[in-house]
Amino acid sequence: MKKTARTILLIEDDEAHATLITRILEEICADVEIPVVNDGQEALEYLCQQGKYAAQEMSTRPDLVLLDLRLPRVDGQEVLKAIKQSETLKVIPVVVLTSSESENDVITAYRNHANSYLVKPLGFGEFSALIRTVSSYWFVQNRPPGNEK
Amino acid sequence: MEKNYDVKISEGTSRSGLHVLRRLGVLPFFVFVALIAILVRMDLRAVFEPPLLLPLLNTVFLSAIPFAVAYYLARGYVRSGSFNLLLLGCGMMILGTGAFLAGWLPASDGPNVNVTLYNVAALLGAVFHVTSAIITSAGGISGEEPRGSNVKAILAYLGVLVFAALLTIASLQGALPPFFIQGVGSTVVRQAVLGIATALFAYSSLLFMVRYARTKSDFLYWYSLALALLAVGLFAVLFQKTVGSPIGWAGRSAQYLGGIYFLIAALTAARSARVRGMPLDKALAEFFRTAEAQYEALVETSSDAIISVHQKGRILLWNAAAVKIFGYTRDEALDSSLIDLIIPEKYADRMREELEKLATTGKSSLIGRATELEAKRRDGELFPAELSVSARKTVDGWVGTIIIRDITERKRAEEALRESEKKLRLVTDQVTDVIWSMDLQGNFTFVTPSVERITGYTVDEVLSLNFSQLITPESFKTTMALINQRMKAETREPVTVEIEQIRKDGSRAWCEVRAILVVDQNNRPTGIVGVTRDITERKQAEDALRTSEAQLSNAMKIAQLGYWEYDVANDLFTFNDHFYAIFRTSVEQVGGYTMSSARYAQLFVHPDDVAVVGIEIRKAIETTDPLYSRQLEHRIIYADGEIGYIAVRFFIVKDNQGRTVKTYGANQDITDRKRLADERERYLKELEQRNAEMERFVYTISHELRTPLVTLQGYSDLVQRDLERNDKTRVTTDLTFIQNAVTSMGQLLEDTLELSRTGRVMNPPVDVPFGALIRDALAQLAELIKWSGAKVLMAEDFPTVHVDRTRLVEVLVNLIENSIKFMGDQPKPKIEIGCRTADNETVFFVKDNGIGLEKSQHEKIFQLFYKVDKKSKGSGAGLAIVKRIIEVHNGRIWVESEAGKGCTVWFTLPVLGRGTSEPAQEAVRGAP
Repeated sequence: MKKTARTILLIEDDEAHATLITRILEEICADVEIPVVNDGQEALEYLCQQGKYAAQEMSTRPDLVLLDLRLPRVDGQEVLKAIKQSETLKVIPVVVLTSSESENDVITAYRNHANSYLVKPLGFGEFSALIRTVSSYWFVQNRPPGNEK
Repeated sequence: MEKNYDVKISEGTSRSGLHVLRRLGVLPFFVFVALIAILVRMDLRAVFEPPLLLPLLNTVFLSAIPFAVAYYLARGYVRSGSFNLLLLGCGMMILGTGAFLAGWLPASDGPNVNVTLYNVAALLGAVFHVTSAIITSAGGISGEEPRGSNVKAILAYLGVLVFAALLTIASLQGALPPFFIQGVGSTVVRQAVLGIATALFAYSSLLFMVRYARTKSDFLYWYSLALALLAVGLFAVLFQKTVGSPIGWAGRSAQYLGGIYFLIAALTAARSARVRGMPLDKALAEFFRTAEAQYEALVETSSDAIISVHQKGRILLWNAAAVKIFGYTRDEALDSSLIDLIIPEKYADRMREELEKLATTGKSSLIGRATELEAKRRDGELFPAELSVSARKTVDGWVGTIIIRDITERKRAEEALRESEKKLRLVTDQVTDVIWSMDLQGNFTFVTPSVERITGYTVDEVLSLNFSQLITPESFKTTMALINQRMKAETREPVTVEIEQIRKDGSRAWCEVRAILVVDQNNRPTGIVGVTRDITERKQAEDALRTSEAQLSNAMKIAQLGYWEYDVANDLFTFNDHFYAIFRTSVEQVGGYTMSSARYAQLFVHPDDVAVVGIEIRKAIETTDPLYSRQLEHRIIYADGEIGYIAVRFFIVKDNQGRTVKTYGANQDITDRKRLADERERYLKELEQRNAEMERFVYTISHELRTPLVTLQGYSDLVQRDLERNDKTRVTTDLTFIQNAVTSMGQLLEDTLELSRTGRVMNPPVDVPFGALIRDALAQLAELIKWSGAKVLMAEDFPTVHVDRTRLVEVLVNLIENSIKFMGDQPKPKIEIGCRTADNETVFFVKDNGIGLEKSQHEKIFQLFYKVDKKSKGSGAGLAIVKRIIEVHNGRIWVESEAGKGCTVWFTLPVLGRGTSEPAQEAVRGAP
């Protein structure tokens, strides 16, 4: 595991879920930053450094995005589409993490170039194991582009 | 000799009236004979002699009539040259003259001179008559003699007159011996003269009667009787002792009657002449022609060859027809051998035999009947001949007379007739139709063999049947009515009638009978002939056709199909009744089955589709494909103005130049189908919508339920862990999350139930002024509105709506609540409720001046559990429920808004008095 701090952007409108995921992530990863945004609009503002995130530094660009689909204002799929259509943002792996098991959502997500689609499991143990696998995969096994540092 | 040659010249006197008269004519003769016999024995002496009576009677009966007869006899003599006619004429002249003079000469010295004159004239007349009668009997006129001359006739009659004059003078001078002495009676001289005259008259009468017996000439009969009466009359005078005595009058009367008989004779002669188309004088001459001459004339004018043959076979007579038929002249034929001359070899022996038999016995098998054989002409040609033979005995032996008729023509005609009968038989035997004839009682008199095919009866069986046995009672009735009507009718046209026959096996057959009455010369019906044809199959075919036509017609009616044809050259459509039925009209209303394409388009085609129809017609005309056909659908206008749809399928007909001359096809009314299809389309769409909605709903529910479940599961595990770690703060947080999740799930369930109830559970719609609904909603929200400080503006006039009142109040409460919820930091919150009518549609609205909504959110906000602001209260089901209620009312709902510029929710509802808000507003005003 690399010492460099990772940034995982958690786009989640449900406070309980956001807290749960944050707790799991903090338990398994030593140095990880987890900014949480509650709706799609905010997520896009964060990523594009607009609105209240205009002053944010480039380095805060996340290494991974965990995206819920049902979001107020701008829908999760819209956010996904926006990321994957942006030249600068599309390299960021986006993992859809949602409670929707709808096939339609799965297909739409992949059409929008989601890197992965995961369904929130019931039970803390299962949830924890899933997050562990995700972080292990994306941060250990997976080699992202231009990762020389 | 004459026995075999009796010649009877018909005078056309066979009429029964004359016949009776002729029989009665002989009666007076016997009456007078009897009367005179009685008077002679009575010897009455009374005298009746008024002056002038005798002269007048004499003049009329014994002068005028004889003179007239004499005139015609003279003309007969001139025409025929026959002296016996002139002799008769002279007899008549002297008789007439004598009677005239005897009547008129004054009998101053007694009647001697009168008596003398009359008696001498009578004697002379008798001599003339008896001479003529003898000549006639002995032979009379033979053949055509030279014509007599007028001069001779005039001289003869003048001679008679001169003699009478001399006699008168002589008698007056007393140069003659006395004939009658008044009071004493007749002298011997007179009795001698009178007796001779009487005898001569009687004899000539007898001779004429004999001749009558041979000629049956009425003229001769009456003439003979007249002479007999004269004789009787004169005979009576023989016994007269006094002039004017009864017996004298009897004698005179007999003579007068004789005069009348002369007249009758003349009249019958005139009649006979008229009948035979010849002048009276010629007819008179004819009566006195000799039998021989008549025989010869007959022989010569006969068209049959008449040949007399001696028993040895030598030809004695060869008439003109024989010359013509056989080609031998009379000179060549006479005295030649009959057998050599005209009998072909094959008959020669038999003929010879017959002739020999004839010679010895006078008998032959040829006699008494017509024999057909072949005869030979001079040029050797054989021809069919009919031969009849008679024989008579002469001093030289037996003589046969053979009449030979050339029957070539008859044979040919018979042959032709046989041939034509054969053909006719062939036809009648072969025809399938039955040709028949029957009498007026309905009994068949003729029928062709084909009858067996139709009726099953043989020809013989049919001939023994009456036609009433061959047809059904109904047909019999119709037929009889027809026959009776025809019998009365003036015209004799043939009639055609369909009847049902009964076959021998009892089955029935429909026949067409064409018949005509047969009439005699007087146009009286005598029978019926006709032709019968079995039309059972035709009848069945007709029935089948009728049935199939009816079926087709029904099928067209049921299928709402109409047939049409279009004549390209004349731009003329032809329609049928079904076609008009589709357009809810009839031929009477339209005024005919044909119309131009322009009229059709104007009457029936929807204006927007006229162009389409026009293009289709043009395409059909211009196409080069002979099998071109098209199917299209277009809108139409019914006769009642409604709009409908038809499907048209049509084909074309091309002439040999490849031009489209006709198009034809069928139209089908598909309005109902179309309407159903539209409805189905709509339902399908709605169903799809519902399905999508349901899918979304299920997805939403599962997602929304999963979210708190994830929380519940996750945090209940965490609570455990945190409790183990004794981290009380975290446990508290964990439990809070769990509680929120449970609350959220409860809300979710409640909203879901609520939503599913909407549309399923409805109160019956009522008519309610929209303003009343608003007032209800505002009452419910009074506290909230007061707290929020919002100002609610409400329009004054609203239409009455037909809605579920409770639900609609719920809608308004929801919308007003939302407006208040999203007012933001608006210092002067304002909510406006009203309605607007545009395009015949009333649209209601709830408008606020709150924070507004981005365009992307306009549809999302109606999704179930969608929340613009996650932190705001509620589950996000409110607008979904609102939308649902509006849609259940067949309305639409949508949002107009911009971020920061307020929000307007629009919706439609069923409004009373569709399209105008006026009556609805009245209702509002009228409401309390």
